[in-house]
Amino acid sequence: MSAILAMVLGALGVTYAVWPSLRGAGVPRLADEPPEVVSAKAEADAIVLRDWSVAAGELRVEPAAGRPRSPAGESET
Amino acid sequence: MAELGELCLWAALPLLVLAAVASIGGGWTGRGDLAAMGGRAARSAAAVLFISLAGLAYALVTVQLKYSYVAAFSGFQEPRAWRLAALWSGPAAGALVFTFLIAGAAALSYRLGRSRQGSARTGSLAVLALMGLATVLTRAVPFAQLDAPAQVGSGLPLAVKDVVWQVEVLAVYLAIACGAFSFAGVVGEQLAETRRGQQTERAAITLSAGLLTLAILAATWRAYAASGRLLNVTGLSYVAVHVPAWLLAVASLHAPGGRAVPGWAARWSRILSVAFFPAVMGAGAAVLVGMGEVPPATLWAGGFAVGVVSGALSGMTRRERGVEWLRRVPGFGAVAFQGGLLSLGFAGMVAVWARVKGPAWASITWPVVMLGLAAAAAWSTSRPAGSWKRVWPLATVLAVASAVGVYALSGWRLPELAITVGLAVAIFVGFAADLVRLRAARRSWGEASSEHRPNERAVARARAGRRWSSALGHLGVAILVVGLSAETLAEVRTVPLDPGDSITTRGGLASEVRVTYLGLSHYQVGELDKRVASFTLSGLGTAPELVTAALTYNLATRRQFRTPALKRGVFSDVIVGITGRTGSEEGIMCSVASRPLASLVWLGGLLLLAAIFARGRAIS
Repeated sequence: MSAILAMVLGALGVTYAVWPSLRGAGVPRLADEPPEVVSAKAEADAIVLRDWSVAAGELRVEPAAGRPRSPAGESET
Repeated sequence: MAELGELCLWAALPLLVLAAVASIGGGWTGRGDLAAMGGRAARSAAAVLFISLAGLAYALVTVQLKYSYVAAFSGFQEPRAWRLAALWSGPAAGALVFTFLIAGAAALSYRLGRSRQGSARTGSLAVLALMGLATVLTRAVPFAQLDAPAQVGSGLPLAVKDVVWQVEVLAVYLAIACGAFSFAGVVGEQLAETRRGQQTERAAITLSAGLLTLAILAATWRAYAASGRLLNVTGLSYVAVHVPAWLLAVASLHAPGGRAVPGWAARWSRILSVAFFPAVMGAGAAVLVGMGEVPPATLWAGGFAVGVVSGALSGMTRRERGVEWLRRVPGFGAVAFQGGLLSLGFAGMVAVWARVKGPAWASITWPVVMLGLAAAAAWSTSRPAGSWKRVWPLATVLAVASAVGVYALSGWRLPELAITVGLAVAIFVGFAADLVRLRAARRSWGEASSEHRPNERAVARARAGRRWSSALGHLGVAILVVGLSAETLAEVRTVPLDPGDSITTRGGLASEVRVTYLGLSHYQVGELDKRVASFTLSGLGTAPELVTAALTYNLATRRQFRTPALKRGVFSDVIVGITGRTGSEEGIMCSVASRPLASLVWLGGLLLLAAIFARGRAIS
């Protein structure tokens, strides 16, 4: 009796798992942000962090020519 | 019901295989239907494993003595609650609980989001659960049957029938589930070759750090009750089991988080997340095998070693894309920072190992501590800006000055007190610096709120939260250090007592406690020869209280255990113990100790716990 019940439970579990595929329901592809979007967001966050640190007096920014290269590191670990 | 539970283990096997294959396939290819199939299979597997667990619980509560696990850990003489507690208190059933929790984490991972990394994480958790299930089916076998049913069940061992031990072991179980989650998150990233914000993995590590702090507090509480001393060799043996995993979790919390981290910080965080899981697994196994006594050091040290190796391997992958140009760590930078933290962690481990395993190790500790401090100081002073540039040197100078001062005042006699005071001063400087930085962060948060800059507001808010938690943590550790070092102020008197004799000791700031010896009882149960002395404790304005202290001799192992009576108070604890017997019939050598400020240890621990959870809330 227990063996039959366990088999039924297992079969039910498998059916539950494959049901969306059997029914042919359209499941959207897994979307990930493209790497360039992730990088852009990270850089935006980093700019906010740097500006905050400068405003709070924890970071000294020396003027640098060309690319906005930060001379100083983080203020938080 | 129990048979159904046993067979459900086999039903869970194909479900976990399906969950692993489909979820990892979904994460790899990005196919949503495969990910859904895997996630739903993980849910079914968790449900089927729950039925299996319920089957074992039923067998334990109804005491079905044909199962060897039930005969070893349950019995009709036990109340129902302790019969049920056997479900997680023994190694064989513990393996089943681990497996269920990890399968549950896989189901939770599917619920948390539909991304490629998330799907691969679900699959990795299913693989871990599959390994757990294989162990349960082949090695642990909680449903193994005896050739002939046992006549009586042994019930849980005495050391395990303790609410504090139960809290400790349950905290470790949950920490293992959280550790598996963050470990699988990293593996999922590697499998799907993608990177998402790691908020959930970070939250899992935070939760495990909190749970392990709770486990350490519980172990300390137990060790104190068992020996009447805080963190002596026995105490450290109880606590040491959790220390490696706790250090890794706390170090992981201190790694820079969020999206805008440089590549080295992302790698550092990944190494710690990977190393944490084997370390906490080793701790869990050691606690379960130890059964309330001293856990075997080889298990937890082995888990830590495996963690270090696997963490190092995970750090050897390709370079992360980070935003180095924006958040560059100057000077010796990342190497000094990570090296300093690693050496401090290593020194902590060596110090614990030295106390547990002998003095040969003790000489290594201080050079490693100095090396770690030098590396961290080099990192902090080489930064062009930031208040830590001033705080670290200031804290070091004040700590050294106060340690030397205290050592001189004590007439060059109390080096331990001097080191403790120096440590506490350094930590209090950290606390003060945190308060100043917290004020700056709060002000900036207010400005960003009033000027409607939502992005900056979120950053400032998270920063204020981190600093608040840091201040709380520093305060907690400082209080803890003071509480621990108050051990040197304990007054201990050892006197011979006959029944009816009394002795008076300090029980608080101004109160006194009178300890009256009533008599000695003698029991012999199996291999244990136990003598129990009864006392009454009476103080000013309180009713007399009956307490007992025991002296147990194990004839088989030829070891003696002294279990003191412990009366906890707000300002001072009274500890009454037997150290030996005098020549007369019921005469004993009794040690009465007044141990001040032990409550600070628990207060400091609770503050540390609050700090970890406050840091968890500040995850941006």
